Amino acid sequence: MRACYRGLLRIGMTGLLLHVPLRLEAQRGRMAMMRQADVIFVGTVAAVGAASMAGVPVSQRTLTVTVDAVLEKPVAVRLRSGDTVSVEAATAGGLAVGTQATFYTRAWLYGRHVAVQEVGHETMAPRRSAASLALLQDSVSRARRQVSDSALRARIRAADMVVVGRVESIQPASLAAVPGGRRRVTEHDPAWQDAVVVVETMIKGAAPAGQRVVIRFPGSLDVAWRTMPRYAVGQEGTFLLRRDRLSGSPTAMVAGQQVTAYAALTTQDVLTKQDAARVQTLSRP
Amino acid sequence: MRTGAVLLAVGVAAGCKGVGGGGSGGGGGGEVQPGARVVDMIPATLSGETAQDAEPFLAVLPGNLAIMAASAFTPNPAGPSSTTAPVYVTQDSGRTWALRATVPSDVTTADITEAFDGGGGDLYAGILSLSATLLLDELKTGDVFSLTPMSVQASRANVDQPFVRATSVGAADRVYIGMNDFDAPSGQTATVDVSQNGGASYTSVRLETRGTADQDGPSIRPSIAADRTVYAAYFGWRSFDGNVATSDVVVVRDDSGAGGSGTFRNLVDPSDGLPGRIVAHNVTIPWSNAPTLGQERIGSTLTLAVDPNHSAVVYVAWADGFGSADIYTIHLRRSSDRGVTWSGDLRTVGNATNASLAVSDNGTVGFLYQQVSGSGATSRWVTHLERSKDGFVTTSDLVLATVPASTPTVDFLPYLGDYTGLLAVGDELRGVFSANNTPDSTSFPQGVVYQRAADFVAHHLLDGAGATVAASIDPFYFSVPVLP
Repeated sequence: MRACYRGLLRIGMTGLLLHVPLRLEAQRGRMAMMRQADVIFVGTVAAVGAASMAGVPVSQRTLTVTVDAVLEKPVAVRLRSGDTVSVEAATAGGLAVGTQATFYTRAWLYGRHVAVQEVGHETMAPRRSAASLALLQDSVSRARRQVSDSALRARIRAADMVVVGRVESIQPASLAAVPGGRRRVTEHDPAWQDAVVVVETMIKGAAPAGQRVVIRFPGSLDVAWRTMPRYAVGQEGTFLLRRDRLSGSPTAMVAGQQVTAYAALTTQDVLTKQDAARVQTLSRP
Repeated sequence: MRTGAVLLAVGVAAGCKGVGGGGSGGGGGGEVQPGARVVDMIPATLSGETAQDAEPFLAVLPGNLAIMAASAFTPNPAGPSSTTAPVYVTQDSGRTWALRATVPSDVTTADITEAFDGGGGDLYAGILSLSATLLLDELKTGDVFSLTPMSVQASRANVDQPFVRATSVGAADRVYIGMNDFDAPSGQTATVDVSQNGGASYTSVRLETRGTADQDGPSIRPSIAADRTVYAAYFGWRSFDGNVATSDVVVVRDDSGAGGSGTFRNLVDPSDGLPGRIVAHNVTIPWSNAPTLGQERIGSTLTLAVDPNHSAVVYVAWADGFGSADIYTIHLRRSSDRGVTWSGDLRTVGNATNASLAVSDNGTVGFLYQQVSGSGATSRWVTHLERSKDGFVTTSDLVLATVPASTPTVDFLPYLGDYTGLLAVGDELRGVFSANNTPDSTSFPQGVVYQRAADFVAHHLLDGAGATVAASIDPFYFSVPVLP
């Protein structure tokens, strides 16, 4: 009995040792696809060399795919099980009619249907159960969290300073004079503002608790600045900051002292105060 | 159940055509034009979309009038890490539209206009990408249906409001991009980038010949006639105090397609002998880069259109003013002698913006504008298309939309746009405007068709799965027959 158990254990361990690297490799491949994908779904190839809507250039790489389950999609996009999607496959001949796969894709065309460009796919056994689809959904969600952590880690690495703090005041930025004295009048004028943030916790950089840090941001409502974050007095957050290279004036004045001006480039660089622990963890080498 | 309501509601809305638009819910009143079409351009698969899709523009492929491209400040639905911005494309004369992510700009643009060539199918665009330097990219694609993003032909910083027109001369495409170029010498910033070789190279032609307030106004608007006469209008800013520009409204002309020396120098003003006819001298233009008129900013409304077959006839419209009840007034004027002399105001429209002009083959002039009526919470944006064949002695005034002006709350500026798009295409006037998208058939006296899911009975949008979607600003396409 004991020998038998040992034998089974040996077989099991061997299987596990073979299985784990394979799973790790598959997970890495999935994450690589997810970094580029914004629409992920399980679907069955209904036709090759055909599109589900007008305006899609058709070649042997063009597939019509019936959606079996949607795993990820942008919030504004309507895509449900049973819908038909046109897929521009990464290569021709890789997927035959009837093949079921998880498609990792970039949305490309939105009309009566959606057309997407394939980043990659994972074929699967036909007629998967609801339970296995749930497992797949969970696995994709976990991979998305890892991708998200990886992206955040890169942003932390790129940041000159990362602090947790509270916006104490906001004032118009005093910028250096424009060379030549000419200042352009345009609807795209950023109307730079300086938000003074009192540091509560320093995660990266050299700003101890209690120090004031200036975050420069466009006060303008103009469309050119719609993707940059704006601030309000009293706002708390975790701020991933870079030295200001946009306004043309690298410094600001705080309480009569000249200090470095920083900026958060996207809304992804302004996180909640509750995100501080996650940022702290990801900032460790 | 909801689906049934949606289908019924769209049917009701479409069925409004020709039924009478007098009770349009916003004081639009006016005529109903059989054959008019108004379409919400947001596709069915983006029914959950809530962005402020402002500043629409339109291009029609002359070789196949069913194909059109349009743009707006619609963000790429894929999200903030997108490296492309979308354009709308139709291939069934505007009945349905699809959004294609093929403009090389992260998520969206900060300005975009586009034009097809004379018929070969090349689409040109001028965009400002999202950057602190107002980066102009001059773009081209030979196939508007291609998966491949448009190619960047030329690029430079410090430019505002690129405005594209194009035509073909023989085998070569000629492209004209009006813009305010802050790097122009002596503050004479009104510029047209001209390409005579399909965008392979551009020459920056400076239009301004007089002293300025260190710069001209943002809007420079070219227009091309069939005989290759090219006009352009611009605001020659003479002084600026931070809130008000004192400006000349100037029209320039080139009689040979702006391809030779002395470009845009064929029209001089009798007062000083300098190129550029001053249509209106020292007008007062309020400059407000904040919600001012129905949540919209003001300061750059300018449009010009030449009769394509009679290049002596040209129309210009601009907005100025500084009253208390009427804060922004559109003026429309006409020349019938190649811009040498100009009429007085043929039309004045108070509290209005986003004027666009186009002249059809049979001489019908289209005059599109958006006007605020009422005040406060009950105010409305009313989108008008006026048509005239007799120099605005008589006009036909169609209300295309009359929608709430106080909702949704402005997200960014422009709220609706710094311009709209209008083109004359055969026996139609075709255009685009942006407006509140609440599905209410009384808001659209000419009728309307929504591609996105909408319940016209309950007056709310749906995401396609049954959930309600908040009202937002959508781009609307329209086509209206020219006058007989």
